[in-house]
Amino acid sequence: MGVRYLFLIARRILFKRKTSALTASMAVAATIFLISFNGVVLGGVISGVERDLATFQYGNLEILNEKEGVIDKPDYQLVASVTRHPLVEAAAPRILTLAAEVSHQTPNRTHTVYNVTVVGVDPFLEPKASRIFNSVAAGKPQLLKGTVLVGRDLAEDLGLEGAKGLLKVKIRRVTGEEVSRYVTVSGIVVSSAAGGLNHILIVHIDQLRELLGWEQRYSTSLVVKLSQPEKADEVAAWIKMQYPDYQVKTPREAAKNWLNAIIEGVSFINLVGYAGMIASALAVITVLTMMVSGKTRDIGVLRALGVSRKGVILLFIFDGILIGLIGAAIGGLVSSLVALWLENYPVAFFGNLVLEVRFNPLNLLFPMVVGFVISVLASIYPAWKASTYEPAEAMRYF
Amino acid sequence: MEKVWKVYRGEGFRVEALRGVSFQVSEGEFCVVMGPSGSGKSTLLNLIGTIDTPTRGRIIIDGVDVTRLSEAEKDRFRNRRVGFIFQFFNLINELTVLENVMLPALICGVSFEEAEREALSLLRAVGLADKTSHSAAKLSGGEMQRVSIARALINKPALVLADEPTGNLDSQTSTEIIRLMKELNQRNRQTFILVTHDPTVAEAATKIVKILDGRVVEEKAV
Ligand SMILES: Nc1ncnc2c1ncn2[C@@H]1O[C@H](COP(=O)(O)OP(=O)(O)OP(=O)(O)O)[C@@H](O)[C@H]1O
Ligand SMILES: [Mg+2]
Repeated sequence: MGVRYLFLIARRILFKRKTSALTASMAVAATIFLISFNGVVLGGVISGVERDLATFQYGNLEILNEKEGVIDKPDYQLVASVTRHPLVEAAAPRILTLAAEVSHQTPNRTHTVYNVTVVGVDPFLEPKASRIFNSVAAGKPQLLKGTVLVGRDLAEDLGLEGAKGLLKVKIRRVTGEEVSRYVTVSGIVVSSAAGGLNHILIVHIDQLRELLGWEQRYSTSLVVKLSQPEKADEVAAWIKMQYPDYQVKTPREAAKNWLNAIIEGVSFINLVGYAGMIASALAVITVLTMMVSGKTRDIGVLRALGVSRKGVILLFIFDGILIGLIGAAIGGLVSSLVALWLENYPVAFFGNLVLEVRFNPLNLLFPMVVGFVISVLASIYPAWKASTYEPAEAMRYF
Repeated sequence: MEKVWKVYRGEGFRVEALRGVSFQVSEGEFCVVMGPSGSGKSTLLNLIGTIDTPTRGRIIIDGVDVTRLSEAEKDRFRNRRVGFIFQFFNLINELTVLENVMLPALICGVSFEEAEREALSLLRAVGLADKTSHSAAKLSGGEMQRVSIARALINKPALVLADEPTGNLDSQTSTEIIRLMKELNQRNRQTFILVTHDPTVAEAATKIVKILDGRVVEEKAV
C-alpha cells in the first residue's frame, strides 16, 4: 500500500518534536501504570488476605454446619473420615463462640472486655492444620486446660504486661446460665490484620466444651489443610458427598464480605485510573492539535503535492499510533518492573499484611491496549482538523 | 482559461482578485505572468493548479475542465499532471533532500526504490547529487529552490507552475534557476507557467501575460 511514506513523514514530524511526543506518551504511560499498579496491589492484597485467612483462620477448607450452628458428630470421627482423602494433610476441630466478659485484675484496676471472640482448639491437631501456634510472639506456644493464648490487641485492652497473668472468662450458656473460670495466660498471639488473631482468645477445646456444658465432643467447624490448595474444589466436593448436611468453604468464600470490601475500594481507585485515561487523551489531543497547527503550511504543501484528505488524516493518526505505542511500551515496562519488584521483595500493607504478588504479564495487556486505543482515538480530532485545511489557505500561513 | 473570476468574501469584505481573466497557453510553452503586487497572479496560479476554486469560469487543461473535477480527481491531477514551485520553496523540513524529491512519486504509489532512483537522477540534473541526505532545512535558498524544482518534476508533469521562483534569491542564483527551468522546458517539452516581478526572467519567455487589477491587460507571444 502507498501509505508507507505517510508513516515516514509522521515519524519524522513526531520525532523532531521529542518533548511534545514524550509528554503525550508519558501521559498515556502514567495512566497505564496507575491502573496496572492498582491491579497488582489489588491482586496482592487479595492473595495476601486469602493466604493469611487460610493459614490462621479457615485452613484451605472449612467445614461448617450453618443450619444447626454445631457439627453434631464427634470430632475424632469427622477428622478420621476427612483425612482419608489423599490430598488432606490434616484436619482440626474448632469451637467458635463469644465470651460475655473477659477481665484482668491489675493492682490499680480491673480491665474488662465484653463480647470477646473465643476459639477453642485441639492442641494436638491444630498445629498440623494451621499456623496459630506458630504465631505466638511471646510466651509459650502451648495450650493446656486452664491456660489461654491471647491476641495482641486483646492483651493490650486487658492491660496484660507480657505473656503472663490471670484472666476471668465469663460465658453465657444457651440455657441462660452464666459460668466463669479463671485461666492463666501462656502466650500472646500476633497475626496480620487479615489473619484475624489479634482480637481473640484461644482456649483448649475441651475446656470450652466444659464451659459451654457440651457433653459430646461436638465442634462448630473443622479446618482442613490440603497438600495442594489449588485442588480445594475437588476435595470440597468429596467431603460434601459424605456429609450433605454440612457446608464446605474455601477461605475466599468464607471471607467473602471482607474481600468484597477490599475489591470495592480498589475498584474505586481503578475508576480514578480510567478517569486519568481521559486526562491522557486530552494530553494527546493537545499535543497533536498543537502539532497540526504548527504544520499548517506543510499540510497545505502535502495537499498541493496530491496527498488526499484521507492521507492527511492517516498521517496524524499514525502519530497517535506512535504516541500510543511508545506510551504503552513505557507504561508496560515500568509496570512490569514494579510488579516484578513487588513479587520478589514483598511489602507489607494495611498494618502487616504482606502482599502476595504474582506477576502476570497478561494483566498488563488490558490497560496497555486501552491506553493505546485512547491515544489513537484522541488523534482523530486533530487529524480531521488537519484534513479540513484548504491547501491555498494553508500555504499562506507562516 | 475562460472568463475566470475569483471573489474572496469574508466578514465585511469582498475582494475581486480576478475579474474575468481569459488567456491560452499552448503545450511546451514558457509562459511568464507579470503584474504588480496584489494584481491576482498567485490567485491565478492556484486556480490553475486546483489548490483553489474559481468563483466563476472554466479552466481547461488538456481538454478537461479542471474546475469540475471531484476532490479525488483533483488530488490525482495535482499529483500527476502538475508540478509546483513556490516562492518560499515549501520543502518539508523534517525530511531529507532526497525524501522531499521522492515525495510526489511516493504519493503516486511508485515503489520506494524506483522513486529513489528517479529522485537521485533529478538531483544530479539540478546539481545537488552530493547533498541528498542533508536535512532540507539546512540548505541555502538557491539549493532549496533546486530541490523544489526536482520535486516538481519527478512525476513528469505536463504542466509546471512556479510562483515567483526567484523572489527570494539573489540575481545570480535567479539567473541560474531560470536557466535550469528553461533547459528542462526545452528538453522535456513541458509547459511552464511562471509568475514574476522580475523583468530579466521575462527574457526566457515564449509568451508573456500581463495582468492588472484582476484583468489581463496584455497577452503576447515572444
Ligand atoms: N484568501 C484571501 N482572502 C482575501 N483576499 C485575498 C485572499 N487571497 C488573495 N486575496 C486578495 O486578492 C488579491 C490578489 O492576491 P494575489 O495573492 O493573487 O496577488 P499577487 O499578484 O500574487 O500579489 P504578489 O505579487 O504580492 O504576490 C489581493 O488583493 C489579495 O489581498
Ligand atoms: Mg503572489
